[in-house]
Amino acid sequence: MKKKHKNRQIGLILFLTILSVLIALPFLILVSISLSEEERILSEGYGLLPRGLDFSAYEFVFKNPASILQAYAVTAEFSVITMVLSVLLMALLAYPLSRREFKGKKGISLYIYFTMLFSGGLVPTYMVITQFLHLGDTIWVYILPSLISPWYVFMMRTFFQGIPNEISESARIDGAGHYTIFFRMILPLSKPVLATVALFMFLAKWNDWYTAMLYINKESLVSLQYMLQRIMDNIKLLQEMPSGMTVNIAEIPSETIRMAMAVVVAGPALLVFPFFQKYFVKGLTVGSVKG
Amino acid sequence: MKKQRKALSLLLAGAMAVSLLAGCGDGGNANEDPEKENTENNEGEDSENGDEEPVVLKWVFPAGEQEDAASVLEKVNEIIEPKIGATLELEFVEFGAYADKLNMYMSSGADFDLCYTSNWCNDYVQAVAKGGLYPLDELIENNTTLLKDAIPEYAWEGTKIGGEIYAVPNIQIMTTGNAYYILKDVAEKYGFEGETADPEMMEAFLEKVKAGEADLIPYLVDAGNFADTLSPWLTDYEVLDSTLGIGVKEGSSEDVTACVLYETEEFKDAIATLRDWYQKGYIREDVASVGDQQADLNSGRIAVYISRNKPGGAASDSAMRGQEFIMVPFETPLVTTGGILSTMTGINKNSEHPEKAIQFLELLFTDQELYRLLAYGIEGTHYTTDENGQITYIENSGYKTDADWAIGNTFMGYSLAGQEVDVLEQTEAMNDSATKSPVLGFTFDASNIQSEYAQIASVVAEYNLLWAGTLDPEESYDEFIEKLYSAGMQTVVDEYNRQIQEFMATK
Amino acid sequence: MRVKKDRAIKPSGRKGFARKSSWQLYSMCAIPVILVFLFNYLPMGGLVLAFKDYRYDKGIFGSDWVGLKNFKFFFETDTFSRITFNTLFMNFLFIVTGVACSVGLAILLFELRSRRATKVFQTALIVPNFISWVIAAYMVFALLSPRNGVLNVIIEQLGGQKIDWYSKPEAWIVILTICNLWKNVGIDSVVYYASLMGVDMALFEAADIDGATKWQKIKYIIIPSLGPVISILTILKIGNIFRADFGLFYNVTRNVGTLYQTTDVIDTYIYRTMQSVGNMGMSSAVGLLQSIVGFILVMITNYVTKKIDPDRALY
Repeated sequence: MKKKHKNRQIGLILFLTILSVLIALPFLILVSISLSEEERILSEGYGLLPRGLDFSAYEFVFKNPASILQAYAVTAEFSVITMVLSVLLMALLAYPLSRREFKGKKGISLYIYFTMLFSGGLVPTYMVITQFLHLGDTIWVYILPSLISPWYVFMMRTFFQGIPNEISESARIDGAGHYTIFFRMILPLSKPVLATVALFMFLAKWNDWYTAMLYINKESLVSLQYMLQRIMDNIKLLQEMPSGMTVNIAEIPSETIRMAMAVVVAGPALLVFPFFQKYFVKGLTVGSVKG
Repeated sequence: MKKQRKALSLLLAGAMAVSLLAGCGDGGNANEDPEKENTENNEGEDSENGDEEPVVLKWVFPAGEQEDAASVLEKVNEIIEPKIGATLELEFVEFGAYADKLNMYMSSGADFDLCYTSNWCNDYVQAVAKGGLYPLDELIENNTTLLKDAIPEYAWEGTKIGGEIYAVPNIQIMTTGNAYYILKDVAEKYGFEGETADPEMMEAFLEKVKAGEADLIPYLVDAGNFADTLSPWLTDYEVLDSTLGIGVKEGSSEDVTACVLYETEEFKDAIATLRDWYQKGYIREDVASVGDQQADLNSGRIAVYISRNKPGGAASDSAMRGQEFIMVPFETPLVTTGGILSTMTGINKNSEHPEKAIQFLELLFTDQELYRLLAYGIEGTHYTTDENGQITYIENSGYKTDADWAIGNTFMGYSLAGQEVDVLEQTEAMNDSATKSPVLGFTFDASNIQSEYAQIASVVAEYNLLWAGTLDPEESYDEFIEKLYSAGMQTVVDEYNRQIQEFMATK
Repeated sequence: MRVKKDRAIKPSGRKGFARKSSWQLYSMCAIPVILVFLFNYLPMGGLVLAFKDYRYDKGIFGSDWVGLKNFKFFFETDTFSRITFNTLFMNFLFIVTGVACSVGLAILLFELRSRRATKVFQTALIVPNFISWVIAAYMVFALLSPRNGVLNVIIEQLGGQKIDWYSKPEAWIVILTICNLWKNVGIDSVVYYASLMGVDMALFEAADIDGATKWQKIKYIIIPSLGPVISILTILKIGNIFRADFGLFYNVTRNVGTLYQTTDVIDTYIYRTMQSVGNMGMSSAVGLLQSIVGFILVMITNYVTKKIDPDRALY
């Protein structure tokens, strides 16, 4: 019995290892290309391993280190604020929705869900944000509009519903209000879902370039993704503009820069991941309370 | 269920109420407009006295943020404030984001006065159709004296939509007409020379290149760029719309009719030839999916590509790409609406000071110092001049817009060190001497055929590999034409001809 | 089983307390509800654009009404049936394969004894989610490029013929499904894994004592306890079945015309239309249409789910 168990575990690990390698393969290619010599990429094609070793793509991306670092800082700032606020607010919303006795449950659920299907579209949203709320060119434009995501609200609600009722009932008999129950009991028991949602929110914000493109003009508030996107666009435009300009663009290794940029953006986010996972594991052990 | 329905109707009501509120705000603005115009026109008249608080003109400037813009603006304002009683403020938006941002600005009624507009970025025709740009005829008439003559008549002609000017054309090369750009050493090695060329010459050359240079991609093709790719074959036609494939025969000023370029013998010949070239390996095998080919061009891996026939073209492309190219034209230059529309400056329809804005533009097109300041910065701080009167930028000086061609008359500017010394004069001469298209000034109004336009665009996108050589014309050509017509090609051609006739009648 | 236990306990019945606690619950919702109103409901006034000929100078509400004209163009197109079919079919495929693979992976991860191994695999599975489709498209191209793609290089080395994937529309049904799985399956499987961790361990212990097989445990404990999450995530996805993931269908296919047969979906078609015509009314109209269809589909699915098991319904 024991041995069979062990074999199964080994088989499992083997399978998941192969799968992981396959999934990671494109990343290997990405990093390889970013380190390759542009010239050899063009003549020999893409490879699993770097063709030559050349850091000029990274040099180009970091040509202006101060602005890249600033973009990192801004991006980290709004990503973290959004993550914290959104998890808190969405949990606050999800908790009442998980209570059977809550009368507004149906109405509010529908109210939230409706926004998943219907949206006013780009231009009206832009008008509200810039002309009614005046959030243009502030860090809040990254944060406020994306705090409530229906998808995660319902995920949390479902999770809260799974927490045995006895826990909160006994607290209520002791006279505790909903806020006490929420902060003292529900939140600590919900670490798995909170950590998961936090990670999602963080990633979504980390990769945000569209907000910056639409609403940000100040250089000091530009997000990382957008800054890199712009570097790329500008290379392309330099190459295509209908003008008699004489800018030497030949030295810009555009193929490898693209990949280097992806590495530059995704790299730090990957470092954040294990940090979250620690919480996953901790939260998960607490999560499996006997009901 | 009942409750749900109730909640839903509440929500809808809420949204409605909100829209009504917002509606009031908007409607208010719209109503105010005529009054505003009146009072401002009066103001405009006595602004010469200049006692009142200077007006701030906001220009959404097509360049990345410039650190040292403040010192340039200070000098700019020293020039313009005494003359027009207004100061300038620049909001920098680089070209990569320009179209998207301006689209948002215009559609949300944002507050700015001047902007870049063209037929490739911040679309001029669409902006006019949607009421985004200020009609200029009256403004120019009432507020300026020199502007009209500062720009050639044919350039004004090109910007007219329905007889009205909506933007001031910037002046640079205004002709269309293409040339082969060929790697110099390859051209020399395989003996390609001459003042002009045609596809047959090219074919003979490509054959030699293919046989002799295994590492080279002999010929560049870009399926997404119909006009350039097919230009060697369609030399007798002026392309009016490269998506719809509508054009007119050049040189026939008497009886101008629109034709479907996809149905011409020249087109059929072209796609058969390109198919042949593809199969012979003159065109890269991954042409369908390769996308951006700039990297290949810049590393000298493509022997021949097509670009604009212009003075100094070979020199500037060679400098830009770091490879030596020669330029062999196959089309004679022609001044077309498209060439003129490729760079202009417009005034926002919602501008509060349109008359100041046009006065500013008049200065920009007549005051060389002002133009040079905005285009290149301050001499000695941002650039230096050499004995030929050419300039070199000072590195990291905090002002380098690269936008001289997008903000005024380039012939009032400088050429850059390394360019031919008289490149500006040559270009100006080419503009003035070139034939003017018989339909110069004609701009198609697509508002009646939007649905057809969209459908045809989709069909063309599906079959554009016909001119990349990967689709076999024998199999796909008839299908392509059939689909074009079921998407409404006939309606489009008829509409074109109706509008062309109307246009010719007013000429 | 646990669900039944929950139900057995009635909320406490004292009226005064109930009222007070009800206000507490409402107050919790206040900020989120306001935020949603500001950023989601206020702009909805703009939906009227779908029925208007929008002009910048007249504004949203001053522009002329054009009735259903903006909708007409969508139905008039020859491609209407093709893009509708592609959108629905591909999304259906994505939902089915997505649920199957991510639940499967979640179970495998759950079966793993080693915490450290779980951690490593989770990371590996999730990483693709960090990558935007734009970048993913370059990766796919690096693999599939007809000239120099890694896959073609390998095929050639094995003595095969290079394949031009970008001229084979049928292949992209599979390629896009794999891309979608690659990017999304990890994150979904973690969602399922997280809810699996919430399952009462006593159930497994009891099952072990009863001598249940692995398969029986999966069938009778794991799948039922994942049920609510699966059904809710699926209902939510069905609401978007009439919308396609633009980045996937536009960037990854490199917008190659030959592939439209299988890869042209509503969102890419509308995008190209907007590029060529730039009519905001048309895109608003199609957006509204997508919303309405999604809304109806969700109502139906939710209704059916509710009939079967009220606990799994969305509302």
